[in-house]
Amino acid sequence: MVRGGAEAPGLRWRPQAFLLVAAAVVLFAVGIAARDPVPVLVAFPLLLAPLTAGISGPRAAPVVRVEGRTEGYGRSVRVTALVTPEAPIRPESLEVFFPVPPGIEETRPPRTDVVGAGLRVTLSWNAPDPTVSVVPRPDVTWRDPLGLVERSASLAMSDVFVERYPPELQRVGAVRLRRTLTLPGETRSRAVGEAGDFFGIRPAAPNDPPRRINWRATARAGVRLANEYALDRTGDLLILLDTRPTVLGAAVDGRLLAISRAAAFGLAEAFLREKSRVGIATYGEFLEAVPLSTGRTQRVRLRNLLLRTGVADIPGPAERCAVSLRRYYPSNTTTVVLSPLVGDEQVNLVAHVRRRGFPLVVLSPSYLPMLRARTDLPLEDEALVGRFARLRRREAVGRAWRDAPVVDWEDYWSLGGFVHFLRRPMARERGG
Amino acid sequence: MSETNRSLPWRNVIGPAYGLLATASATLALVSSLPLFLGLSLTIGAATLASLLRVALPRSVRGLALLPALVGLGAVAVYCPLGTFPELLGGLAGLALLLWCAEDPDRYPGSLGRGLAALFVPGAAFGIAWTSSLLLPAGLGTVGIAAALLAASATAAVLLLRAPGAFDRDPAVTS
Repeated sequence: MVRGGAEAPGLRWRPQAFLLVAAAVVLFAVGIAARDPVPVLVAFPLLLAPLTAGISGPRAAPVVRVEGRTEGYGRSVRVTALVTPEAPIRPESLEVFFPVPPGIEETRPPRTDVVGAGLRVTLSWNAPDPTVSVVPRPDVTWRDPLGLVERSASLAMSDVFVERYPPELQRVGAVRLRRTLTLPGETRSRAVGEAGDFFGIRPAAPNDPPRRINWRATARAGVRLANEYALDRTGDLLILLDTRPTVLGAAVDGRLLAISRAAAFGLAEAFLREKSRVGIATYGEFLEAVPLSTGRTQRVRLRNLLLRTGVADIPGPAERCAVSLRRYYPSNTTTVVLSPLVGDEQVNLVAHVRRRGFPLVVLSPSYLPMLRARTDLPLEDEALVGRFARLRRREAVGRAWRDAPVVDWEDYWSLGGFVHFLRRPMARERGG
Repeated sequence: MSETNRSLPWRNVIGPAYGLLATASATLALVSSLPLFLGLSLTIGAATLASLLRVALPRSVRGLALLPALVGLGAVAVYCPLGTFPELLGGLAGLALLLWCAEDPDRYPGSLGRGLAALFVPGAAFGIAWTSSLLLPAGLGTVGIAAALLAASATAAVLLLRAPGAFDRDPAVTS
């Protein structure tokens, strides 16, 4: 998505311009009062410089194109942006400021280099928790050579996303999901892979195994040819995020939701890669849902939903969520519920959703690591508080286990246990 | 550049424009009626303090670092005697101050060269004013003409500062 420039404000004088003019006026007054031309001649350039700077600059907001990309792995986030102004604006006259998105920390000061007709800005950030966020639009300002006036630029830029989630989710897509359509082949996949229905013949790659080589076709053509297969769609997945507020407070709720969003995106991406149909629903006061579908467009839809999801102001009843889900998704859809399981309402949601016919697994990001980081008590009291918190957490998880298997997620950068759990054959049958 | 309160390396304090400003204002102090030690320490100290503040202050108030340099230069200029050479030195010191503004350590390398180009109009105007002062007879009348011209310039400057939209181009009807 390319976002055009917003209505940029006009020319702005910087504090130096006001200081220079004020000093010039004072020197004029002193020079005239003392009948001394020296202060007057000192003041002359000081008075003219701001006016010259205002006249010599662009008469409207300069148009600047920003192209960015994200690099790095795990917690490390490196954003490289190329900021290119339209002629005749020179890149050296631009000041670029990238705000750091919430939930991300800056590890090193930004580095800016002049590259050809543009500026290359390199940002080094760290994501303490898994996150899916969009890099905010930078403030790009044109400034005159003396630094006396400035003017905001009009930006044309594509969205740049930071997507960081536990690496184990890369291989969760191999899990076989339930189908909700009567005929498995009703929705045909256009993906080409190593198994499925025969699709066609292509020149063999050096790493193709012998079983994929079509030896008859190879003999006829005189070059090595390999078979291609159309992949079957593997099944359907619904990811449900509980975004209702809890007693933990807005800050902890927000952080837990950010982690859940990242996990939801990682899950969705992994299954979409395998051509499964994936839908995401968020429940705060009301249900907001993206129905089941597959493909790259669906990935964008899901990411947009996740990016605009925040902690709800008012919690809705658990039963409303379960009833609403049936309007968007067929029963028997494999469901992953992402919920912190803090209070009764969160636990009840699991039961209600299961009773509406959704076989589900609960992935619950634990709030205990966040509480540990916040306590400021003596060692014994802290241990006691931690013990009580852990008991309470276990009790909530235990109650949720009556209706569905629960994976307690404490190490936010690892989902090995969850992936292992999903890959067990019996796990899918629970709650059916 | 892309950070609100980034601290800058101290090596950026001293640049060529700082040297020019200190030299020009110190030379002005030499011809002024101020005691030598006081004049030199005032001008060089003010330039150094301004350069240090420009590195040390948070970015949002970094523009105020100009204040000590202005005060130092203005104080010395007030104590300068009448004469062609002090007038020339005063104008050059003003231009050096503008060049010092251009040498912002926040900006990319080469800001001094770009600043030199931006000094063309103030420098030319100062040149015309200074050569005109050579042609005009000294006396109260000259100061009166200068006062009227400069008062008009100052009024125009203040009015334009209050209305920066005057520098904007109207958007085309078809845009």
